[in-house]
Amino acid sequence: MSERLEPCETHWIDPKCPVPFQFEGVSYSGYEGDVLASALWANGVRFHGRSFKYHRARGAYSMAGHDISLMVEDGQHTNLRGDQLVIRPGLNIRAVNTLGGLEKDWYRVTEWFSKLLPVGFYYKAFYTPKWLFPFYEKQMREVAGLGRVNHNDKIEKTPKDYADCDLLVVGAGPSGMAAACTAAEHDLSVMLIDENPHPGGSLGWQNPMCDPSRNARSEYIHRLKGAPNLEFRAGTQVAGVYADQWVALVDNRRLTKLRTRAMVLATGCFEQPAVFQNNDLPGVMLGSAAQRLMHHYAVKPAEVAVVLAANSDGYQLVLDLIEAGVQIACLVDLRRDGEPTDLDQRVREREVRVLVGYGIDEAVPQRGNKAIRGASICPVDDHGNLDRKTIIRCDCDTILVSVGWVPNAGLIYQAGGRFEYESKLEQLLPSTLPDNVFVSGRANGVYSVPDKVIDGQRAALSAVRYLGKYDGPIPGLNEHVGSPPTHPYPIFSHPNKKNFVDFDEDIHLDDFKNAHQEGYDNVELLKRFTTVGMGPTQGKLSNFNAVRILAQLNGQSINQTGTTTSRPFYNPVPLGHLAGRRFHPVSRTAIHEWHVKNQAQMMYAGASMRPEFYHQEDKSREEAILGEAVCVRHHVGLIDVSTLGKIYVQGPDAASFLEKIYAGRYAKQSVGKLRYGIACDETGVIIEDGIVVRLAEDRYYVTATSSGASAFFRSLQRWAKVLQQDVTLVNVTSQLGAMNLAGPASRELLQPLTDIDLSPTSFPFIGVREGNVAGVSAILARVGFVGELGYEIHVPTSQALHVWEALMRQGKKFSIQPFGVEAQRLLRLEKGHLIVGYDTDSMTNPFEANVAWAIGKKKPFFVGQRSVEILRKQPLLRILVGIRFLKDDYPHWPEECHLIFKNGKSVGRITSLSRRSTLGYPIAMAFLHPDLAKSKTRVEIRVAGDQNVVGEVSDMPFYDPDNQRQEITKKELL
Amino acid sequence: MKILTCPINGPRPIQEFHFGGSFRPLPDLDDMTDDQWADYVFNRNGEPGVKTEWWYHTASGVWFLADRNNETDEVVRTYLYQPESTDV
Amino acid sequence: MSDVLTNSGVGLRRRMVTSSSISDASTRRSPIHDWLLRRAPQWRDWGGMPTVGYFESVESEAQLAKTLGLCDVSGMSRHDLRGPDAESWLQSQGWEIPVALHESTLIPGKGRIIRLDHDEFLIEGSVLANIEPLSISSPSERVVDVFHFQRQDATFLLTGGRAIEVFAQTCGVNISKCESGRVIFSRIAGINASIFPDKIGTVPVYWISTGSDLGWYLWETLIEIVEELDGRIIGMTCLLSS
Repeated sequence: MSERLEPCETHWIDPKCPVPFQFEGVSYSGYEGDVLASALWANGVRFHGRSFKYHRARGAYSMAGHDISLMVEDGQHTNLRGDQLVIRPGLNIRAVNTLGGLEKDWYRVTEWFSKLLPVGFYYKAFYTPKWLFPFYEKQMREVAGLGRVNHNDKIEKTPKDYADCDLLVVGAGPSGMAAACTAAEHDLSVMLIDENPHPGGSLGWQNPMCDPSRNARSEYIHRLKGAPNLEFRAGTQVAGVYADQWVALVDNRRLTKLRTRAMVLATGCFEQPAVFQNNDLPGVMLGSAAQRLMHHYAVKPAEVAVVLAANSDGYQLVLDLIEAGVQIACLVDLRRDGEPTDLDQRVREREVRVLVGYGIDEAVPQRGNKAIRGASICPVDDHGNLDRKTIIRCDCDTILVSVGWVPNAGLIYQAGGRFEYESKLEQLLPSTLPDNVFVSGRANGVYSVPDKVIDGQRAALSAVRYLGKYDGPIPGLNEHVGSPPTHPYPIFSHPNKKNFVDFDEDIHLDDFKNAHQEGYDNVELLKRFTTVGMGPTQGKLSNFNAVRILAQLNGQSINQTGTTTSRPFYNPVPLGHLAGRRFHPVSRTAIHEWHVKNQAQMMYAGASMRPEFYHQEDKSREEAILGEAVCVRHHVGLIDVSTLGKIYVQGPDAASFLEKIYAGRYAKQSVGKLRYGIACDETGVIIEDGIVVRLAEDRYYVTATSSGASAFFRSLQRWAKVLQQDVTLVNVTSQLGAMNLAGPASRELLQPLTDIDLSPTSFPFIGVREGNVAGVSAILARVGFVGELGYEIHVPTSQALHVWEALMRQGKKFSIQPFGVEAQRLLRLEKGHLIVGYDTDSMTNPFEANVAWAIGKKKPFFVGQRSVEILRKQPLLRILVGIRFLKDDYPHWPEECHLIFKNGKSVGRITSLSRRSTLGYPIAMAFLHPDLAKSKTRVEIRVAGDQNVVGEVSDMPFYDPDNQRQEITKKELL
Repeated sequence: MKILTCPINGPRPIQEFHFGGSFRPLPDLDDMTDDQWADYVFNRNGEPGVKTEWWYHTASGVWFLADRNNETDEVVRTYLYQPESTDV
Repeated sequence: MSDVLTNSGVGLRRRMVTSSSISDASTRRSPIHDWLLRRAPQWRDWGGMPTVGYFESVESEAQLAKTLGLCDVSGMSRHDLRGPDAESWLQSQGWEIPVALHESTLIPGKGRIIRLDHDEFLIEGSVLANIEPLSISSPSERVVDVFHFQRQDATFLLTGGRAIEVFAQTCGVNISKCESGRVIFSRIAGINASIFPDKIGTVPVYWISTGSDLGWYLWETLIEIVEELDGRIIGMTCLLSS
C-alpha cells in the first residue's frame, strides 16, 4: 500500500477511520470519504476495469465522475462509477463487462480482431441475412451490457419531492459560491447545488494551498454556512433542466423537482484528453485527476510522471506534483511558444526538463498492456503533427495530460442557451441566453480565481436585477489575456490505431477518418455512425475532440461544424428514483370492506375496485357467478354500483340542455320518470349511455358509465358554456353511493325499509321516487338493466354501508345474495343491453349499436346530430346482434374480440360472451355484417388452435323479450 | 415540467390540467354542406403558429382557453371562454 | 309539498327548509372507518359519524399535533350551496360572505364560508367548536333558486410544523407560500384534492379534502409519508383541547 500524503484541510477522507472493502474478491482498506478509485489507487491498484469494445485495461482517468472503466456493481446496484462510489465497510465490488474476472477476461480477445471491427461494423455485418439476426442478437446480448440486474433485490423507497427557490446556482466552485452568497444578501431564497460531497470546486484541488485559492475557499465556505436564505445541497446532481424552470435534482436518496425563477449556471469545465497512441492505458490520466487524487484523497498519483501540457494549468500541475513528492521526468509543452507567464521560470527553477513544442506520440506499455513504463516524445511540426523522425524516450509510470477544457454546457443548452466558438480561448462560450439564465466562471471563459469570483457576483447581481431586487451597478467581465487555456487540436494520429477519442466506446482517430470517407461529414450523422458520445459519459470527454476532428476533416471552423446538444440526464439516474414513491390511486366504494369480508374477489374496473364475484365454498369461479345470476332471476340479489357516474343538471335550461347533449327527447319527460339516453360526440360515435331522471321541472339527475363519468362531466361543463345554457352542473359521483336491488323478491324485501309506496301502480317500472331507505334519504329508480323487478338506490356515500347492511339483513329470509360485476354482465347480456366502451368501440354509431330508437325525431340540435343524420343515409357496415351457441363442449372456447367468419371470410367480432348463462346455453353479443344479421344465420368463430366454434344469430333479448319480469312478484313465481 | 396559468387558480404544473383539443367555434349548421361539416369534424389545422386551445383544470373543474404557439410551445395568454368575444 | 330540506346528501333545490325530521345519527361512516378500527381507537360521535377521539393519550397526541399529525375529520359537515340565489340566501343569514374567489369568511362559532365561484359556496362546520353539522334553513317560505347538498368527502387534517414536508413529497404547488384562509385546488399524490391552510392556535394545519372513493388511498399514502417523517395519526380530541 502506497503511503498517503500528509493530512490537509482540503482532504475528503478521514485517516482515523479505515474502511475495509473487497474488489474482485481481494480485500483492501481505504478511509472514510474515499471513493473506490482513490482507495484502489492508494493500494497500488491502477488497473480498474475493461473497456467496452476491445476489453482493454483501463484505470482512473478523470476522477470527476466520468470514469466508466471503473463501472462496478455491488450486488444490489449496477452502473456505479468507481470515481464516485464512496466506499463503506463490507462493500464487495466486481468490475462489469468481463468474462472470468478482470485479470483474465476472456473477452479481451476482441482486441486481436480489432482490425476486423472497423467503425460501423455492427451496422453492416448483422444487417443481412435477416434470418440470422436472432442468433446475432442472442450473442450480442451476452457480450454487451454493463452489469447484471439482481431480480431478488429488495425495493428501496425513493421518495420524490418538490422544492422551490428564487434563484438556483449550479456549481459550488469559486464562481458559484460567490454568486450564491451575493444573491442571498438580496432577500431571495437561493439554492446552491454541487455534485461533490463538499463545496469549493476547483478551489479544493487546483493548487489549493496557494493563494488566491486558499483565501477564496476559506472565505466563501464560511459565508455559505452563515447565509440565512441560502440552502446548499452537496452530493446532488442537476440531472436536467426542463420547461418553465423545472429542474431535476438527484441525490443518493431521491429526485427533487425544483422550480426556480432564475438560475446561475457556474458548472465549470471538463478537462479534456489528448489523443495519442495508448492514451487510454492505466497510468495515463488528466492532470486534474492527479490533483483530485492528491487534494481530495491524499493519494500520491505517481512516482515518476511525464506531464503533457498546453496551458498554464499544466505548469501549475507540475509545481503541485513536486510538492507532493512526485518526480517529474519531463514537462512536454505542445505549444511551440511555450508558457508566457512566470510559471515557466518557476518550473525550470525546480530543475524540471521542459520540452517546448513537443508532443507525446505513444504511451509505452508494460508487458500485458496493463500499465505504462514510459513516453515516446516527438517534436510538433509546422502542421501541428508529430515529427516521428526524432523520438525522445522518457521513463515514467504516469502520463498526466493538461491540454484544455470544454464547458460543462449540458444544462446551459437545456435551459435554452446557445454557444459560439471563441478562438481567443479555443473554447465554446455562451452566445445567447434566456433572460433568466446566467452563466459564470470557467464555463463563461473565466479562468483566474479572482475573475471567477467577480464573474459569479456579476451573474448573481444580474439575476437579482432580473428578479426585481436590485438596480445598482453590475461589474463587467474581464477579458482573457495570454495564451488560450485550451489547445485547438491535441490530437495525433498513429499507425497502430490505439489512439482513442472516445473511451466509452473505444473509438479511435481512424474510425472518424473512415466514417468521414464514407460520407458521414455532418456532426449528427458522424455521431450516430461512430457512436461517439453515446456511451455512459455521454461524450463529456470525447464530443469536443470529435468536433475538432470533423472540423479539420471538413476544412471548416468549429462554428461551421456545429456541436451536438446534450440532453438530460447529466449522469445516469436510477429508475427507482424516477419511479419515486409510485402513486397508484385506487378508488374504493363505501362498501369495499364489506365486500372483502364477504369473500368478494375484487377486480379493477378502471381505477376502481369492484367485486367481480363472491367466492363460495366448493364452487368454481364460473359456478359462483352463475349462482349469483340465478339468485337474481329466482330470488333477489344486491350489487354495489357506486362507481356509476352521477350528475345533477338543474336550472331553467336543464331540459333544453339535456336535449342538446343526448340524442333523445327530455323536455316532455314526466317528473318522477326515467328515460334511457345515449350521447354522441360530434362524429356521431356513441360516447355515453345512462338513465336520465327528471326529479323536478328544472332538476334532472343523470347517470354515466363508471369509466366515462369524469370525461362526460367535463364535456357537459364545456357544452353548457359553449351553448350558453343556464344550468348548474354538479358531479356527485363520489358523493352518492348506489346499489341495485334486483330480483322478483326485491319489492317485498324493500317495502318494510322505506316510506315510499312500492306498489306497481304507485311506483311503476321506469319510475323514480325520493324518500327514505333504512332511515337514509335516497333516490330510488326502477331500472331494468339486469332484467328483473328491481330498484336502484342512491344514498349519501357515508351512509351507503348502513343501507347496504340493512338490505342484506332484511334479505336473509328471501335468500338474498350479493352479486358482482360478472353476474351483472351476464344478466344484462341475457337482456341484450349493451355496455358502452365494451360492446361499442371508438367508431360505433347508434345504428350499428342498434339503439337508433333512442334518437329523438325532429330535434333542432343535439351534439353529433349532423353526423348521425349523414350516417343514417349511409349503408350500415356492421350491426350488434345476439349469437347463440348450440354446443359448449369445444376444447377451445371463444373470447371477446375473437373474429367471426362466414365461408372463410371475416364478417365480424365478438364483443361480449358468456359460456354459462341462466338460459342453459352459451350466448354472446357480436358485431356482424348486416347481411348476416338475420336470425338463425350460422357463423363460425375462429378460436385458439385455428379451430372454429359454430354459433347462430339470435334475436335479442335472449331473456324475457316482452319485459314481463318487471311486474312479477315472488308469489306469482311460486 | 411545463407550467400553465389557469385564469382562476393561477400557475400550476401541467399535470393538473386536461387538454381539451383545439378551440373551434360551432359552425352554422343550416348553412353548410355535408362535406363542410365533415371538414369541421375531422380536420384540424396543424400549421405552426398561435393556436387557441381548450384546457381544463381538473381539481377545480375550470374550462378555459389558452393561446399557445405550437412552434415554440409558448403560452401567449389564458382566459375564460366568453361567447361574444371568441365567437367570431 | 314538504317544505323541509334535510341536510342529507341527496341534493334538493327550491324547497329549502329546516333539517330536523331525520335523525341519521351513527349511520354515517368515514371512508377509512375500517382502517381506523384496526388501530383500536377511542371513538366519539361527530355529526353522526363515529370519529376517533384519541388512540392512546390525548396529551401525547396534542404534542404530536404540533410537529406532525394526521387526523381523520371526514365527519365534519361540508355543504355545497350553488345557484343564482346562493349568495342572497347566505346574506339573509346575516353572515359575512367572502368577496374574492377561493377566499373564506368565518361564521362565528359555527364554521366558515368559502367562495368557489360567483354562485357557488362551500360551508364548513368547525372542528374546534365541535358543533353539530350546519343546518341550512330558509328564512321564509319564499322559493329560492339554490342547490344544496351535504358533501361526503374524505377530509383529513394534517397538522404541525413538518406538515409542509408531506406536501413537498405529494403536491406540485408550494403550499408553504400559500396564504392561510384560502382554498387551493390541486393534486395530492396524483389525485384531485382541495387544501385549506389554516391555524389552530399557532400550529399550522391543513384541511385536505378529496372524493370519498379516494379517501382510503389518500389516507394510506399520507400516513406512510407522515410516519416516515416521525409523525403519527391522531384523534380529534387533542385538537379541541388545544
